[in-house]
Amino acid sequence: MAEFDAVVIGAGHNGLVTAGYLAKAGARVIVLERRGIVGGACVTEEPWPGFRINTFAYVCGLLRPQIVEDLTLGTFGYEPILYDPQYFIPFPDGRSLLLWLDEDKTTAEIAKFSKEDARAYPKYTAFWNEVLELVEPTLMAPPVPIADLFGMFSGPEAERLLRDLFLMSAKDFLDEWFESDEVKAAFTTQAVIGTFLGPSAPGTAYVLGHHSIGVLEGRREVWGYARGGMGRIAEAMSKAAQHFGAVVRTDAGVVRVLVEDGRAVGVETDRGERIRAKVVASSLDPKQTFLKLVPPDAVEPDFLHRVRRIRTRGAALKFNAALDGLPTFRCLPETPGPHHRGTVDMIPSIDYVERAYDEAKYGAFSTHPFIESQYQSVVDPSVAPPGKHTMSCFVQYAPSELRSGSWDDFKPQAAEIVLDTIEEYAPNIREVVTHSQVLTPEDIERTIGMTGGNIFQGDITPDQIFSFRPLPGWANYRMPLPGLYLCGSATHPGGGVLGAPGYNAAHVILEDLKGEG
Amino acid sequence: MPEGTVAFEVRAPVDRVWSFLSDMQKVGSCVPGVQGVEVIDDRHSRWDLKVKIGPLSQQFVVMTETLEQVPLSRGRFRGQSDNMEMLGTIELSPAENATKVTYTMSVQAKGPLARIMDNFMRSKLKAQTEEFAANVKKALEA
Repeated sequence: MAEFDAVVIGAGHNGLVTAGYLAKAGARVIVLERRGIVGGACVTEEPWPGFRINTFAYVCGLLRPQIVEDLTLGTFGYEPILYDPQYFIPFPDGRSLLLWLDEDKTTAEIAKFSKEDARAYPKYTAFWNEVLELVEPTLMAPPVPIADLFGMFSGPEAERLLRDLFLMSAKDFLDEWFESDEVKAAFTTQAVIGTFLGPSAPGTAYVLGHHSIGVLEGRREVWGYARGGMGRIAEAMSKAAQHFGAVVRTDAGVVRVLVEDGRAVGVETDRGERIRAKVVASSLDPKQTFLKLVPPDAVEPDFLHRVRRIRTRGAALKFNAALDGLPTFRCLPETPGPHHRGTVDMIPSIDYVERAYDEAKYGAFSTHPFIESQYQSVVDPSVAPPGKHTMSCFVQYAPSELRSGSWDDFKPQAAEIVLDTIEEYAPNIREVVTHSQVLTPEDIERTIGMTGGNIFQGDITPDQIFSFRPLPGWANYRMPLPGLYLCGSATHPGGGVLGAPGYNAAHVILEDLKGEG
Repeated sequence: MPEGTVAFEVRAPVDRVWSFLSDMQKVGSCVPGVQGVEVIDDRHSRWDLKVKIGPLSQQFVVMTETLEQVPLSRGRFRGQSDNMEMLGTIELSPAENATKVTYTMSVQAKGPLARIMDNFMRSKLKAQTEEFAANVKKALEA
């Protein structure tokens, strides 16, 4: 007899969301996590005393409000902080652009670069707001067949939207909206972040849309910090799941999915313990799940062949640091200033990003990467000792594998490139960095099992979303091995700290458990 | 099933409110998105409904049927289209110099897009029932 109704592999945020909803519905659930802490990519660690570093994921905003409410995450320590300005984009020529929560203030900033673009900006935000209204209902439900979804797009306006969202490159899309290179650069990060494609690649406009689905404190298209660090989100989810009756066990890696009579019946841990359950839900990506944990003869070879071809290329590395003080930006010397509060994007132009990608697509780390950074300690002093600061840098492009040499050997050089790049904007950066760490795509895979270091468990381009995610025919969380489900970012609606894949998987599993009686 | 309820007061006597809300032509004209109403007989009508989902517009023909009418007190109607079913309930009670109206609309989507349409309606029904209430007040208090 099964000890549990469900065993969840991996205590990433989606695994914990699945466990939380299953337990809340009365199912007996156990979550098994290989690391000593919960969270997967949504963790905060203390590599240097007193500095709480968002090791991988660094901002919240995508987490679905319904999950926060249903699992009462606020009562378990989750507290978002909406920061303002949202973005600060310094440019090498000494100018800068601030994107504020207040649309009028942002419009005034954009007008410094182009009056035409300032007029376009309110329409641009209204466009994404409308798209969000369309996309939001699709997030918290299993994906509908793409043909049915596209059936909704009839009439010229709808066809234009279909073209914009699914077929266009971010570059072409932004070219249609704006004329200033700087303004376009400001919106480019979200179109390629975490994606191993340049902004000229068709489909990247959708990635831009994916990063516009954030809702925080009732506001759309916004980002924030989790007080105390991103790990607080996962910790709150873990506490919620346990509150509802789930068992969450760390230092318990799963090495095998147990299969009997053609059905997943449990798992075996790295300590040799066998845990039986009616269903197994893996929050790992399909490659980790099917190529490492499921016996190869348990599914059709053709399915495994397709799993191997899911695009899970890493695109970036993380550079995290402890700081003695804040960087002083050449273009806005006030330190600390409002521009230190939110995301700082060092991204001079779309062409700069495309060139950075050009190097990476042939296997090299970009010599001039674009960098998205945050200094959370400025608005949340709990993450650093008094007077000190934290810095998180998401640095792109870093291919999964280097064409020559190893990532481990290249780390010191990568760190120098990151500091050189920041130094162009903030000359004192080397003086204020006291400790730093480089986490390459290889480290990301080694540490949290995201294949290739892909932060979404698979690109979120139009060919790998909705009913194509993770594979056409297998998008409803049920896998070809009966009793096995996927519940991570590899499933609809994809990556980022949304929790929606875990929510959707939990509801499919509950339907099936109910059917079994 | 997504459902929205609104309770509101209309500054009009209950018989006048009943007369208005038992007339499907008038009820239809207060439902947000209804572009046209054709009364077929005492119990049936046809609404041309346009629903805006973000930047997209969807057109539906809704055939309505009056299920119950308790004069001055309660009415129920059902609407059906290819992709959705709706159930509307209107309850009246006299208040001081006014009539209290409770209007409930529940919608069940059908077909392959049912789940996302349900999610969409869940996010919209509150605003839609409130708009219905505002339209009824405007028509009766003018």
